[in-house]
Amino acid sequence: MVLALETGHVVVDETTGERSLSVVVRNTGDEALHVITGGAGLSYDESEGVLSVAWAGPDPSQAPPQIDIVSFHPFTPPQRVLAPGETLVLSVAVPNVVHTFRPAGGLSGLGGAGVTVDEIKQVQATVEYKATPFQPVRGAASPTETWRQARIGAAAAHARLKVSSRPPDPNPGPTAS
Amino acid sequence: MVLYVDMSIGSPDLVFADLYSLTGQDGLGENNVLGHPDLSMITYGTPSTSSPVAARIKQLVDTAADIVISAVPSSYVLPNGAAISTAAGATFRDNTPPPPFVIRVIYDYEMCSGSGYWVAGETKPKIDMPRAIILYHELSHAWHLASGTIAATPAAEEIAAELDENIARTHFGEDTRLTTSHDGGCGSPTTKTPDWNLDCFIVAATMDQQEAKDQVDALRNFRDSVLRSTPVGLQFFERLYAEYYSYSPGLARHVVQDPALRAALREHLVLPLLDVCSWAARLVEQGPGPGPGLGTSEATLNRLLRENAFPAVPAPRRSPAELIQELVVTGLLDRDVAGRPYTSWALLQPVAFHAWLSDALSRRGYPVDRALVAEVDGRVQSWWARRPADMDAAQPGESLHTWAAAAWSFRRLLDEAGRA
Repeated sequence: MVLALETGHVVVDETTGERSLSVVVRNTGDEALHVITGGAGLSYDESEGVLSVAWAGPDPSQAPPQIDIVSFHPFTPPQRVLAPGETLVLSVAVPNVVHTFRPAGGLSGLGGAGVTVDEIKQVQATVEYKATPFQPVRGAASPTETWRQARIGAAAAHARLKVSSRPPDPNPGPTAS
Repeated sequence: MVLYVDMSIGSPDLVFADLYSLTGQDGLGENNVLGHPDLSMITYGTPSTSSPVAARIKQLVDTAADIVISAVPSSYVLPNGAAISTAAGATFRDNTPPPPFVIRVIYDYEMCSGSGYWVAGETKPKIDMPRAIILYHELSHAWHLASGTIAATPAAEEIAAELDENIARTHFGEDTRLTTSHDGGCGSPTTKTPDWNLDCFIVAATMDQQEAKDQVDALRNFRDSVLRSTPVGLQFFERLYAEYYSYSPGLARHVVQDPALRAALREHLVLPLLDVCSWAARLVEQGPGPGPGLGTSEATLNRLLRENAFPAVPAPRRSPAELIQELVVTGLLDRDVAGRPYTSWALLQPVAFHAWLSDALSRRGYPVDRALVAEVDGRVQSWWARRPADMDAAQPGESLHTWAAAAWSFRRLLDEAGRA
């Protein structure tokens, strides 16, 4: 059960100027994989021009200790079944500014400056997958436990990819592995 | 002990718009917060309605807790590393020192980058999750937290919030949610706008509740059963709303709190526009005439104007352009609003037409003569010719006559279906 992350591309919409990032993944194993196709949090390293993106289920346990999350009930992430040898293009819209929660303390807004996404030189991609569907279990004691159970048997592929501006083939189809 | 709106991120205007939508426009206000320029404090007088939703908002405003609402973009990364679009909304207690600790309500004002959200329904597999309902759901968690009534487990708390949400859904006539499931995701199952009850926002903001309900319902009926029944009509409203939503929540936010502005907009824009829309609706319901433009006859036009008592409101003292200019100067509207193609064509030019026709009728009186009929027809055709350049993309070359004819045919089918 192996998922390979092959290439990354940044596509710019000529009309709106909006950018999207696409990453081509390939199932190099010999069994079908359920691949998460919905993006979780983005982050951008200004010094190196690296955009990090995870097509992965949420991890409610990441919250810092001073944050007591009362309501965060993530939806079942969108998934695609990828046959052995088949490729898939994962895409995510790239905002001009990435805003991430930064504890400010006391009565305050969440604005902050945000991180401006300038040139994207590389992408640090994570893609979560497993042989069976990611299906959160109803009735678990907490979202953290729900997702711990949903992740049983899952793996994550990680890769740092150089990105080009060449758009990917929208229908790469199955290829020989 | 206050409900605050975060002014430092996303769209504070839309938070206000959603609160306005939930409360039914009655008694909302806001104040600056000394020492906190990034926050605005929501005020809310005693609701004049028995709405359980309005009552809940009132409880939140009066509660002994600090609650900060932030409307964030879809890509906003929550404290747990997930994008807000993975859940649509989140509520947490922020214990980061120094005190006071705050309850934070965060929701996705961009509605999953414009695609909307669905959740599992009681009677349908997928139902719409309007933006204001997302906020209400999260405010339910905030209320449970603030009032010490939070459920023992996250799962039970979620069900409690969904039950609260269903009270709001029932109140607003929305499909109710299946509380034994938390399935959902991106992609609205309907063609509803994310602004839900705010599609006629400025109309509602400038009129009293019953008056607004009647007028807004009539407009929605005309829009949904007639104008949106053709490809051009459907696309037209999508583009008009895209423009309208970019400025209307901000403007309405001021309108609600400024009686003079409310009166000015009502006199110069809203009432003339409703008047001309009402007249146009009756014209369309007559069915297409034989001519190339409106195709209406002298007798028909006379009858329509008289039956409709047109003009129902006098021509305003100032032109819409003058009012828009005043709003631009005072910073309530962007300079380019009047130049936006759909706003100009569909909202401002009809108001100008209303002023012209009102004036002509007051000078020439009834019955309308052949020359005036020809002039009305010519102005309407000229208006149609000035439509936005991209409006025909859905059905190239569609004329006013064919749009009206198609809309009329559809309406007739609906009427026949209703009789059957």
